[in-house]
Amino acid sequence: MRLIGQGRRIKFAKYSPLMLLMLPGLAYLLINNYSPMFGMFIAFKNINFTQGIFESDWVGFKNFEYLFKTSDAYIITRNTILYNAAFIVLGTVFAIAFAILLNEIRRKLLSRFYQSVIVLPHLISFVVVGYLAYAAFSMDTGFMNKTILPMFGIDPISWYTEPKYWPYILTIVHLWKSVGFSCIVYLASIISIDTEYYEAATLDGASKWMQIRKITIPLITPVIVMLTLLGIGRIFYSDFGLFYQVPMNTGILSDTTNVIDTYVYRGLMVMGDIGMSSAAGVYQSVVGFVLVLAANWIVRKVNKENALF
Amino acid sequence: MRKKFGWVSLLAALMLVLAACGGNSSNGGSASNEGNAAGNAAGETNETAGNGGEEPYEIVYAYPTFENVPADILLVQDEINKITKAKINATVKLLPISNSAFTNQINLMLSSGEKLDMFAMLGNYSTQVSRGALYPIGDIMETNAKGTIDALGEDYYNATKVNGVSYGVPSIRDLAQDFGFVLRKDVVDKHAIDLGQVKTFDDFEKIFKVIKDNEPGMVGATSLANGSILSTYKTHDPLGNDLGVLLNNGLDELKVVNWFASEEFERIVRKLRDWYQAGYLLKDAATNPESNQAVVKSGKAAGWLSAMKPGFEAQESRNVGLEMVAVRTAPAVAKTDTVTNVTIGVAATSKNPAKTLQFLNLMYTDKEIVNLIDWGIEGKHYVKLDGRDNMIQYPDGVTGDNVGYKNYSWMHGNQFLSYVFEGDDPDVYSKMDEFNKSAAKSKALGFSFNGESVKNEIAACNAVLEQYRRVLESGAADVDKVLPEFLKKLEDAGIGKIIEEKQHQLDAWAAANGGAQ
Amino acid sequence: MALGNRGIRLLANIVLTLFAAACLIPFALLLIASLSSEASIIKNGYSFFPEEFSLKAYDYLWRHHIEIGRAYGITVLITVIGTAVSLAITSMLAYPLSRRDMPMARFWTFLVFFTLLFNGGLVPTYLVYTQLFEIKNTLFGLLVPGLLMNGFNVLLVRTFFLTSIPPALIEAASIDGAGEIKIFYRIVLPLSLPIMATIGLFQAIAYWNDWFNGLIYLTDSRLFGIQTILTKMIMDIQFLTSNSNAAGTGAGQAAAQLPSTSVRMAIAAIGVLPILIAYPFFQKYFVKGITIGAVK
Repeated sequence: MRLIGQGRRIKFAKYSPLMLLMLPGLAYLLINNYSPMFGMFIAFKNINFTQGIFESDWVGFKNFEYLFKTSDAYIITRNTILYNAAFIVLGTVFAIAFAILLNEIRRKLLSRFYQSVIVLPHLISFVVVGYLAYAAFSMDTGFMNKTILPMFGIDPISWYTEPKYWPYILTIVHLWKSVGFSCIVYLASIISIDTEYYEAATLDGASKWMQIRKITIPLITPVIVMLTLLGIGRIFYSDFGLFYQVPMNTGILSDTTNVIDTYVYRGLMVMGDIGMSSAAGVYQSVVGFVLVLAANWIVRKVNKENALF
Repeated sequence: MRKKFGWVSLLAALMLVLAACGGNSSNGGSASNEGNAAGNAAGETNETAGNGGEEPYEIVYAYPTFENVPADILLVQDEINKITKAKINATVKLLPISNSAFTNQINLMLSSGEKLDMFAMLGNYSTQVSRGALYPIGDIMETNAKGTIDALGEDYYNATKVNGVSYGVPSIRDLAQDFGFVLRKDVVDKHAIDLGQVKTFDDFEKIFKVIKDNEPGMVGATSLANGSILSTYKTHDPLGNDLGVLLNNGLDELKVVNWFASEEFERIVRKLRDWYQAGYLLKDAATNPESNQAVVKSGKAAGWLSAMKPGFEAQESRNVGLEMVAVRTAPAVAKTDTVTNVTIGVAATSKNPAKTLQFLNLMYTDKEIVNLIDWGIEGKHYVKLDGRDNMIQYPDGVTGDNVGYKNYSWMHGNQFLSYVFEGDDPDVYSKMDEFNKSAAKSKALGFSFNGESVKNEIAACNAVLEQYRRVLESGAADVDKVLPEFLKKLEDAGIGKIIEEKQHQLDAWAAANGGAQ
Repeated sequence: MALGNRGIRLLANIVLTLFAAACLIPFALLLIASLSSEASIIKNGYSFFPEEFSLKAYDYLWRHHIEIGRAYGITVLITVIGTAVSLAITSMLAYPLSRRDMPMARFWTFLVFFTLLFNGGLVPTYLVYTQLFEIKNTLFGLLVPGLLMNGFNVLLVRTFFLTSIPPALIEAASIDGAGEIKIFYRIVLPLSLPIMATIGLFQAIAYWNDWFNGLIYLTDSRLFGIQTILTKMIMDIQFLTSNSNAAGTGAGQAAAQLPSTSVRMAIAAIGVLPILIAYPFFQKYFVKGITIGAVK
């Protein structure tokens, strides 16, 4: 008995400084993330300001209906998932590839130059990117129609009225904007890998490619797994700016550019119904949550260390 | 497994605690709301009985702006407060909020109980009513704002009533609209275009042809930024949301139809398609992000289709920077939407609606207040023109860029009481008054649709409109292929249900109001 | 395919040069657009060789230099303070989570992770911040909501600590008598410069680019940051014209007075500049060769 009690006290004493360290962060999470969660009940109410949000009527799942009842429901869900899946896979592959390549650059100045430049696109807001895309794809004056296509003898395409090109356009724009950023994360990981590993491998006669496969990738796997799991958790969320601003909010492209977030925004812009937009948020969260739990469970089966929790 | 269960339940417990805390403060909040409602009812009779040395009540008035908060706003506010303290024992806090953030901000302020007494609305009056965002001022209008009713006139005041009670007052400005085409005067003169020949929508192509033949690089008409060529040129009464309308601006019968399935709509989009293919319209009409004024100014288009009012040409000439001339193809008509386009209301969460309404009343009856809000302080932000009592200009050294205070006279109350800025027609307001009084009135003027019961269908239909409308109205789509798709999707989204509901409400309203005028 | 050292370096240079070009060219276009005349943009679209050059956009900025300068200053201030505090809190939270011997580490980690999936929504968040903490129209409104720390960064740092700080090192230090906190900032932090620089960069960019907090928590435009001003300008036109009811009124006239395209491009350009300048500062820490071995 006494041993256990003492053990507990010792444990507490030993770890209390660490708990102290966690305090500010946890306090922030409590204020910023957890306390507003009570507000999820708004999704189940029909908000009337005269009654106030706490006294408004409960309407069960009625606010969720508009997300499922329409013929668009399938399209927006499909688009959201497919785009995110492509983004996760392609984004990871490209980011790692670039990080590895960057790591090989010997000249420091050149390396720093590349690093600065590839982050540039991330700094430009999507509103501006939309305008720049317009500069490329405008029917009348766009770069593609006026310069590039004639070079290959192709007739001008009305980009903004043909949905079929946009999955490619949006994916490329997304990669362009985000690869530089995630590349930096992987680069930081790669840099921390002990050079002794590489030196030993070179002495053993391993080729560069082999070194990458056997040393680099396995050692950054925890980061890859973590980022991928996070990506899966957000699979029902989309980058609003990408899907709304870049196609210049052109309705006719909806079949390939409409995702859950833009659908909610467009439908509710005029109505401004708080309950309905909250319902959309809850829907996205719940799905993402379930998916992440599933994915994490799978990862744990494969390699316990890499699972998030 | 047990371990996992352990901390999941810990998490759940944590959240329950938080919810309980949230619940407690909410109980406190709603209790105080009820208390206030009761206190208000009692307070009303007290307030009107005189000041009696009470603390002046602060009224927070939020309105949308396209600019930054004016540098001298506090100075102007002080001047306003001198008058309001004396007249109604209240002070005013002007709260200009950026237009793009306005609806969000109002929603947030109303949800969280932040102090808000009155606010202006641009086009979403009926939505705010159905959200319960507005106080039913109709109940206390006679005692607090009789002057406002007089200034508006019965017809236009009644246009704001929902279920027999008014929830807001439209600003007094151009309450009706006529429609036509506005274009550069120099182009008209250069090619001797006879505007007298242009009497209908189809006649526009006479103008377009001349421009196409003689002005390379310039098209006939531009579309509105992020909108279509028809964004403001409407020949039907939209009854709030364009989903279920009355044809011919509501001047005929009270039958709600699907505008997009009508013959007229098909005719119009086919015409637009012809014009697009003939090169009379912008190639980028479906995506154009530039304002129509900028497009015309750059020489890319000659003009645009628009809703108009007295003084429209002068206004647009100023905006474009070139002299503009207009030809009208449809006579003036007033519909509920043209009236409630710009409306001021009292917030449902206001702690003293009666006092707030009294200030609102001042904005419709007190010339000094109106001009302080609209223009600022005399001598500092404007000076009167020699010998003209109601015309003003900037003082020496002050320009549109550096003036310390700016506002919109068409938003705040009674524009007819406001000064006329140099360059505008000195009689523009009396002309507007005439215009309002003589305009034809839609038979549905005064009807506001409550979409609560079909809000899912409305959301779905709006999504369909977003997808198809702009491209169809830009002429860039193949009508034979796209129009049927569009109509089918609307059907699937439930437009039939909306129309049924609207007709139902319209009939009930007509019966209650003694039939159509 | 045996890639020698030289081979892979050549490949690296080619690929990266191409990508770098793809990143630079649109930005160059942005700059040139801000120097083009409004008319030539509308008539001919955005072009590298505009019909007409014009400094009007920058003239407009200069005329409003008080407003723009102030917004700039605010954004810089918020970014610096926010990034510093954020780095501190994030690493302080991530470190204990990375310790395998930490009791209930899995629970706390899940707690952090959960915040990335569930969001209470704008209304309750606004309620909490404005009613409980009253940060409306204060600089805290720009600093705290949503940006000060996020689970993503915490988990990233935690993963880094887990994989790069050997427990043996920590044990050795504690046997030597060092307290937990000392271990943290004497040993762990110095070894973590790459990830600190990474997160620092992320946060700096997040703060610098944020326009949302400004729009929601500020009505006093004197406290706006530079991105809020830009986004507001562009959204004002978009919002108005998608609400055609309002467009038919004097509001349409007001919108006509909004700054032109080239001005918006100019603002976008000056909005990106400081980050470009600050970036090399962070780069110093991406130094290859900070290894555990060296420390040993």
